[in-house]
Amino acid sequence: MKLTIAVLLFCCCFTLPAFTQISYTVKGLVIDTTTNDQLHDATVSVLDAKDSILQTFTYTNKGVFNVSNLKPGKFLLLVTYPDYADYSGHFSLDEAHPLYDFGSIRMILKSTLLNEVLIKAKVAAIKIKGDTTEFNAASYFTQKNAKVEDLLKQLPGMRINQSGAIIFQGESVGKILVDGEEFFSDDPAMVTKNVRADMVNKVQVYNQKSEKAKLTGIEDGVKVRTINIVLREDKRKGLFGKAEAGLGNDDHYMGRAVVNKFSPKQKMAAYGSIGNIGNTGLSGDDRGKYATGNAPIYYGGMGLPSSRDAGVHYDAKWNNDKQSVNTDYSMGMLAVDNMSNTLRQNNLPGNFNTSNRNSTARNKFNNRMLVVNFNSKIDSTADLSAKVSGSDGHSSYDSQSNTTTLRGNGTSLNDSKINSTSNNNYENASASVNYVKRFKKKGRSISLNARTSLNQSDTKGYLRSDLNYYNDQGATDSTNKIDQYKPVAYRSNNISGGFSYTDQLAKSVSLTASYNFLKDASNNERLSYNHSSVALYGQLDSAFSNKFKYSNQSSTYGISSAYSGNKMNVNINMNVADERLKQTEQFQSTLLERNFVNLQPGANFSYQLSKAASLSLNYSGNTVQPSAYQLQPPQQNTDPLNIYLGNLNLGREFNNRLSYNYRVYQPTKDQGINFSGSYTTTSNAIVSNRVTDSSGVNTYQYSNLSGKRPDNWDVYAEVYGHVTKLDFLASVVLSISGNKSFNYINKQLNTYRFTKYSPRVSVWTGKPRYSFNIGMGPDYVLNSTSLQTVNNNSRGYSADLSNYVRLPGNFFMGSDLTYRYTAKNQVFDKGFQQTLLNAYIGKLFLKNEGLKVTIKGNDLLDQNTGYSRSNPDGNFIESRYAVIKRFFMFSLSWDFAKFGKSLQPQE
Amino acid sequence: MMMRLQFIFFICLSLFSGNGLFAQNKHFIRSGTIEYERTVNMFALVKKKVTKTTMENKPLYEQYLRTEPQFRKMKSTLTFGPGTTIFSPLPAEEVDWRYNTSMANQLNVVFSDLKNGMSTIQKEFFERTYLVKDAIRKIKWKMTDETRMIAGYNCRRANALVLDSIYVVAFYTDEIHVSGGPESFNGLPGMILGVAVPYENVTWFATKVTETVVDPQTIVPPKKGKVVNNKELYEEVMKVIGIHGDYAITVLKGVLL
Repeated sequence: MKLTIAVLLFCCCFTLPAFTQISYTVKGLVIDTTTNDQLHDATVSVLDAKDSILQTFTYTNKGVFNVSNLKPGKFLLLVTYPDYADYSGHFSLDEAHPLYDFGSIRMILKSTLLNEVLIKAKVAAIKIKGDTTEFNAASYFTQKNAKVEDLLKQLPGMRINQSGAIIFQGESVGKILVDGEEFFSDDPAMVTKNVRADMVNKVQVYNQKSEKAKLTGIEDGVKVRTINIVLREDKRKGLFGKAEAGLGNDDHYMGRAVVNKFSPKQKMAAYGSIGNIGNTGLSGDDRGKYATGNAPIYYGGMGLPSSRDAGVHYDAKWNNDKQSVNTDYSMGMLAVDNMSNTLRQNNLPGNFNTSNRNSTARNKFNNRMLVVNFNSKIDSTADLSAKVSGSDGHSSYDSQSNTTTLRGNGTSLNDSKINSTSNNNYENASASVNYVKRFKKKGRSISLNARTSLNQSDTKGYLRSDLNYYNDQGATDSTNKIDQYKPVAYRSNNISGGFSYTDQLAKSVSLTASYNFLKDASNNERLSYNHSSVALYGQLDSAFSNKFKYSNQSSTYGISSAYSGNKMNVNINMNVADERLKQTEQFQSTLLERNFVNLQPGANFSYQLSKAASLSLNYSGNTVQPSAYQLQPPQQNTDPLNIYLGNLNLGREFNNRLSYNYRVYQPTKDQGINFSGSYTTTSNAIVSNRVTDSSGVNTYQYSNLSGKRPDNWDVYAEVYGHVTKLDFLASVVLSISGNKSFNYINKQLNTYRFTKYSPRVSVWTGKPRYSFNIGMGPDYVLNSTSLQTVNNNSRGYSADLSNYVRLPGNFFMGSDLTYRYTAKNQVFDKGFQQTLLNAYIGKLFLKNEGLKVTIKGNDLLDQNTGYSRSNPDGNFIESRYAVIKRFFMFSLSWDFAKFGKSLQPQE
Repeated sequence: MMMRLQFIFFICLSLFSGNGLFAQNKHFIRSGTIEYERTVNMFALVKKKVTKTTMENKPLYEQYLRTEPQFRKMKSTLTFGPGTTIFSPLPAEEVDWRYNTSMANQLNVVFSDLKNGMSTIQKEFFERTYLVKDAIRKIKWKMTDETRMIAGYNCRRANALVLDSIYVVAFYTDEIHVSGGPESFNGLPGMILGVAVPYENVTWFATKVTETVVDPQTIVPPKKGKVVNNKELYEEVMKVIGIHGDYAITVLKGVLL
């Protein structure tokens, strides 16, 4: 009995605390999502939700788990099972809820996993954090001395298309940064062809907000796809670069060098380039693949070039990175000799005439530019940034052309011989400052901006032209001779300023109101002096001299509202501008005064349909006011066959543009779909009126079109992915574009229609030791004008192929081939066919493969000719021009790099 | 239209990966042996011998850089059953006494009784041998979602601080259901196949995992040495290494880790 009481007491003592102390428990059942099998021995871990510290773990028994003896708090449950994707879920336990039941946890096999859950197996190679995709560079193998470009080619979802644009998951990349800093004003080649792949720690790809959104912290719907190259810690300090020189037959040569000195707080770089094969900056070849607006000189592929250019970059941060400066200075010289032939069909009501123009020209440009950016974080709530830039240069132009124009029946209409030369000097300077203050209330900020710029240019030109008109019988009807000196002086300055205020109305809704003021004033003097016997060019020709004084004042009021949620972003905005335009002409004493109210509505909508798919819709509308040139052009005789008249009553036109973009990208399979399109229509469109008289002189004037609306549209559909287990990517693209436009020809309305279908199939692969890509497709154009019975329909075909392979014994070789074919048609009686083949072979020397010897053959088949077709103002034009032709080049290049010695290899 | 395309995509993909659709209940390992390789970065360890008060060691360090290899590798085995493990180092070449340091050597035979949370460590300390009997080391692991393959097993990374200040990175696999590891590392939801102690310049990585039936009788605690607990060991060690001046903390870490 005593024993029983003792036992009872004992039990009570031990069970009593159990009544007061609650047992906190989590339980659940782990099953396979497709078969509903219960997974035995799955690992179930309980982590602290705040810091991921492991609290306890257990293994399931036939799928069942039950973890007790937990403390109250917030936790994360992690369930893992080999070959299955991890499951994680939050739960919390407190006195009111001591038990949490997960119910059935459905695990997904990694092999059946689509994109609903991202695979963790390669997480060391690719990490996706929100909007950012991060690649660990060490996971991708590149050759010694490889550059960032070679690394980018290896990354899944990244490709570099035929024209050199970098495309990530179907969207083109707009900006490349190094450690978050701009390097050579965004010229991507300075990063992709200069920075070494072995310096890269991570490659991050994200959508950067627009500059304004970054400063104010408010979404405005504008996104710039950006690549940020994060350097390895041990490669942030060092010296590296490359020097290259080549010599070829027929006096072809090139030389190029770039040197960089990096340290954690500052970067310095300098480059120089010289040659006559179209190489400028670090652009790889004569196509000027990466050239952006910032390049001091740019060779567009027409004519025979000779160039020199150089530049330096410096950026530095100090005072705990609160202040920074970023500077680029570049200068360049480009001389181009060009010869061209242009065939043109001028369409007339029920008739046409054709002209054939041969011209030779020599252009020369010298340019220097300096850009300095300064940023300062005044404190945690205010930023100040300032930018000063200046450029100056000199250009000269000398051209001679012979044109003969025939009537539709083949008889001569006119012929002309024009020789014009000009010398131009120009200077531009601008300064801007931007201040942003963020208030304590989240999302409230004010920004102020001011900008001023000065531009001036002086041109001295000479024009000599001989023009003969012929009558129906082929006899000379009249002649026109011009021999004039034509100086042009242009000065302009403008000042603008404004402010914007942004406030957060609700958790994810913000409103911005802004005001901007602009004052633009310019003087434009174009004089013509006739050659006289008394004084050399001393006699002013007032009929072709103009002195314009132009001023424009505008006030723009804007309001926009943005909603940004987890999956959806919406932005609606409206700008209203009040513009006052005033132009006086002193010779004719004319005064032009017009006031315009311009509207600019817009709306953007983007929606994340799933982790893989997103959709965006955009609308924008804008008023386009007639230019001063359309209202009151200068009276000129530089081209006596084409004369422009003004129309002081010209009104505004209004554009509506609608576009959409649907994108699917599945990272696990590296495949996706891009489907985009746009439609633009213009009401009250400003159209040209051409009157061609019996002697073949075209007179142009602009007027508003009523009753009809020009439009243009395009549709782009692309599907890409790994078709087979073979390691290459294939894509199928269909693009269709079309437009309908109007103009008046000899008072009759002409409707111009153009539709182009171009399907294309491409296959490519990029490995360090070999790479190739093939793309091909036909194109078909439907092109007609209502005043003509013949159409300008054409069909063509294009293909390109390139490959690179590393051979034993440190040899390498490669080639690229481009084939273009355009068939003859009713307008042009000659077709066009061209096969361009470039090939190279070389060998690498030194232990680090830093020395490279290459022999390159450019245009081996000697078929390169410049060729293009275009259709301005309802006419059909075909031009052929001089280009760089076949040559062979022997070149030597040396890569060098020296970094701070590190004792420990990076993990 | 596109939604439908996506749906078709999904169907096709599901069809192609058909063999993966059926869950196989995976086999989990509960006993066997693991071979580990310990790698130490001798350049870094020898450099630590050069302190403010022992600048005379600098020429020694420079000589080491010129004449000796950077990495020293040593082998060890871990034999494990469902609740117990024994970690024993294999004999290794000795390091020249001028360059030697505690972290460069494998000092411990470690027996862990995971069920009862006790461990017995036979520890070499200069000429002495201790037999440390105490509770197994409790480690607060911070889990991550980073994974890597080690010896053919998919391992997850966890980080921790041990001995108050030493940063440790461990990789464990959930395919071996024993919560042990090399030396005194334990406590993760599976076997630890890799450990890196970056600031102490030492790593352990499994090179081979063999599943065998292990007779529990063969996993027995070591017996040699003076019996102490952790606190007593610490006191004994501190008495001796006080003479090392500002290098003492480095010695201590090597002995206790």
